[in-house]
Amino acid sequence: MLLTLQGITKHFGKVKVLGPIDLELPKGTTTVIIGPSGSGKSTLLGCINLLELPTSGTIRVGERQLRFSQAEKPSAKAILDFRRQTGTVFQGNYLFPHMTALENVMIGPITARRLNRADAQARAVALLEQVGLGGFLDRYPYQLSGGQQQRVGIARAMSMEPQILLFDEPTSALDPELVGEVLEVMRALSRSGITLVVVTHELEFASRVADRVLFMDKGSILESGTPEAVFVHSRQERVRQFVGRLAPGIASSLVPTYSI
Amino acid sequence: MDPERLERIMEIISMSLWPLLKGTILYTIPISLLSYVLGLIFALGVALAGISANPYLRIPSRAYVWIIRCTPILVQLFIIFYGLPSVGLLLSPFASIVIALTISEAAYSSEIMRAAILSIPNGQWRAGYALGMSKSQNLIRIILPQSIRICIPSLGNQFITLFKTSSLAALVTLPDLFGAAKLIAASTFEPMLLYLIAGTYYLILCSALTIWQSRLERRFGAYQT
Repeated sequence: MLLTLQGITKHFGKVKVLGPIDLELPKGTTTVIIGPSGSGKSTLLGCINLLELPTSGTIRVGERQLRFSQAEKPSAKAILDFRRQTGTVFQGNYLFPHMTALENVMIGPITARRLNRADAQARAVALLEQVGLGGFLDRYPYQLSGGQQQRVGIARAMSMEPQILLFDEPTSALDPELVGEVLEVMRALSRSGITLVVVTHELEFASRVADRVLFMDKGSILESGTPEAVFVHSRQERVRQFVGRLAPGIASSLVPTYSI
Repeated sequence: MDPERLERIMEIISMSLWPLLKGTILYTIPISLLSYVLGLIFALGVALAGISANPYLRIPSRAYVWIIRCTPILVQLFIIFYGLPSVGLLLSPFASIVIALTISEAAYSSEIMRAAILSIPNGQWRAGYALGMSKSQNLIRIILPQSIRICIPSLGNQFITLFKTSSLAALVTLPDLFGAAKLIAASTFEPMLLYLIAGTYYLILCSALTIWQSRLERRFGAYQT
């Protein structure tokens, strides 16, 4: 088990938006989280990369474990250390506009890991080539298309050699024509054995790439299983309604049809 | 206008050109530059304190900006130059005007910087944190470089304003550009003439500064997105 969440809850003021969540993710798997807006998907992701601090619960990634409660909060240093285990790709990519693509991917290792410039650069070039942007190293974000920017974002997230890669609706803000190239990169990453957690509405992508699908609503995980189990065989009305509305043909595409 | 009058006017103009220029070179320009640079340095500190989560930094910073912005700089100057000696602190005229301008500049510029920093989208901070950067690393590498470009037009404006405000030096007995004009105006009984000449000097110099500022803006303009 690479990632374990136990009893994770998150409150904003008095309002509970998440939890309690208990989750275990094996290494090398791809987990896709789906669900309606406001269901807590992004908050859950935030609790894994600690951009949101859980109100209570325990989280373990690899060998590092942190406990949160009203009384006890981990030190800033522990949180920073933990954040370096995860890499995040955001919906709005949030690339640094004053740096080239190459510099965007180099900045993490140089500052947070104190790598020397030459090594960081070599690594960044390799990552950008891996996402298919080897010829765009010196472009600034504004000179790249949305899909290219997002691929730089993926390379940047990988620059810190994280144990888990998190994706927060990476294609939701993209032109439909550009979605494919980003999903392609994600599929290649999934195949190469990196552990991924993806929040997305692209149910077809989930059905083809995910090892496991989680359906979330109102801060809890309602259904968890293989894509087929969740999309086709779910017993919960809420799940079937969501899947039916978002991807009407998906149930039938997953069930093999035989012709005599 | 009779020829004698015209001749006298030409005579006064030619004899006042150099003293006014000397005042500019010896006082106006050094005072402006010194106050501006010192003011910017303090302004950055005040700005960062003003957005700090720590109330012991934030509250003094906000109080400082509030008081300075809500009192006239002339009053601040006179407190420093005429008021402080009565509590035992005697400052030279030059030191007084530089300190007063620095304090004032720091307050106004800190607001410009604070606004620029806060205008950077939250996503930029999050992306930095997601990479495992600390708050200060984020600030130095990601946020401030973007903020500086946003500040340039406003801070350029501040310098031009400061350059003109430095004329307050005349009120603490310094013969800067305005001070020299005042002295000569008194001795020749020609206030209109002298103040027009001083005004012309300011106009020429500030116009040059304005042109230089637009060049700077064009070179370092905010990023296209």
